[in-house]
Amino acid sequence: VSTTEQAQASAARQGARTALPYMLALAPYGVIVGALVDQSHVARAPGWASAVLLYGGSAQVIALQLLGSGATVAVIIATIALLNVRLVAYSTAIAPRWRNAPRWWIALASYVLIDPAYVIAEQRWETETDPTSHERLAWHRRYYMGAAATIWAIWVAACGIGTFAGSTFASAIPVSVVVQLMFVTMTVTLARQSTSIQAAVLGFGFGIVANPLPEQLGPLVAAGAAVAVVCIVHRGPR
Amino acid sequence: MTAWLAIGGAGLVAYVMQLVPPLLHTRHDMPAQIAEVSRLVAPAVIAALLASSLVTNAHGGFPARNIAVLIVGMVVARRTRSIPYTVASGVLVYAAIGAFL
Repeated sequence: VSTTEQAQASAARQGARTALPYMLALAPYGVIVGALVDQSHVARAPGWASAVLLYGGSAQVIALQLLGSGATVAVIIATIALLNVRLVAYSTAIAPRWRNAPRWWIALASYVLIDPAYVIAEQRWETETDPTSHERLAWHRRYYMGAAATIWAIWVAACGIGTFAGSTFASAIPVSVVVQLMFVTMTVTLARQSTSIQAAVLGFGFGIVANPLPEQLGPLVAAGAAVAVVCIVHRGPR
Repeated sequence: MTAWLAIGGAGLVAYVMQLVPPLLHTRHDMPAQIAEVSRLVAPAVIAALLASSLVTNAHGGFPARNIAVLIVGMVVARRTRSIPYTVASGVLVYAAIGAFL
C-alpha cells in the first residue's frame, strides 16, 4: 500500500472521528424525529424512509408536521425546497473542491451534504496551507466523505430506533410541544444575523395572520412575505 | 401513497437542488445577494411553521402554557443551540405548569 493510499484512508478515518462528537447531540434528535412518525399519522415505512429520502432533521420534522396537518403534496415539496435553499449555498461554496472528483462521487457527496458535514469540511479547509494541490483536494474529499458518511449512518439508525421503538415514550410526551421546541431551536440556530432574525420575527407574525389560508399555504405565504419585506427594507434608497 | 409521494418528491427536489452546483463545476461562490436571501428563507419558513403550529393547537384559545414553554425553550436554545437540551427543558416546564394548574 503506497504512502498516498495510506494518507487517503487516514483522511476518511479522521473525518469519521471528527463527526462522532457531533453525533452525541444529533443521535438523540434522530430518535425524537423517528418517534414523531408514530404521532404524526404517517405510516412507519414512509416515516422512516424520510430519514433516507429527505435526510435532514428539519426537513423531516416539517414534512411530517405538514403531512399530519393535511397539507397537499405540492405545498410540502415547495416548503422543503425553500428550506433547502441554504444547502444549495453550501454545495455552491464547496463545489470548487470537488471539481476533479468522479461524477458518481459528486452524486454521493451532494446527497450526504447537510449542516454538520459542511461545518466539519469547512473547519478543516480553513487550516489548509496548499489549497491548489490535487493531492490535498483529494485528501479533503476523503475527509469530507468519512465525516458525512458517519453522520448519515448514525442518523438513519437513530431515526429507525425512534420510529420502531420510540412510540412507548412518544405516547407519553406532548408531541406538538416537542415539535414547537424543535422549531424554536432551528430558528435560533439559523437566525444569527440581524436580517435573519428580522425574517424569523416577521415570519412568525405573518404566520399567525396567514394561518387560516387553505391547503396549509399559510406558512409558505408568510415566509415569502417575510423575506420580501426584509429584502425591500434592506435594499435602501437607490 | 400521499406520504410516499410527498417524501419522495420533496427528497428528489432537494437532492437535485444540491447536486446541480457541483455538477456544473461552479468555480465561484454564490452571488452575494442570492446567498443573503438564502440565509433569510430557512428561519422565516421555520418561524412561520412555529406560528401555524401554535395557533392550530390552541383551538381558538390563547396558548399561554405553550408560550411560556417556548420562551423557556428560546432561552435554552440561545445558550446551548442543542435540540435535546431545549426539548428536555421545555417538556419539563410544560409538565411543571400542568402539575400546578
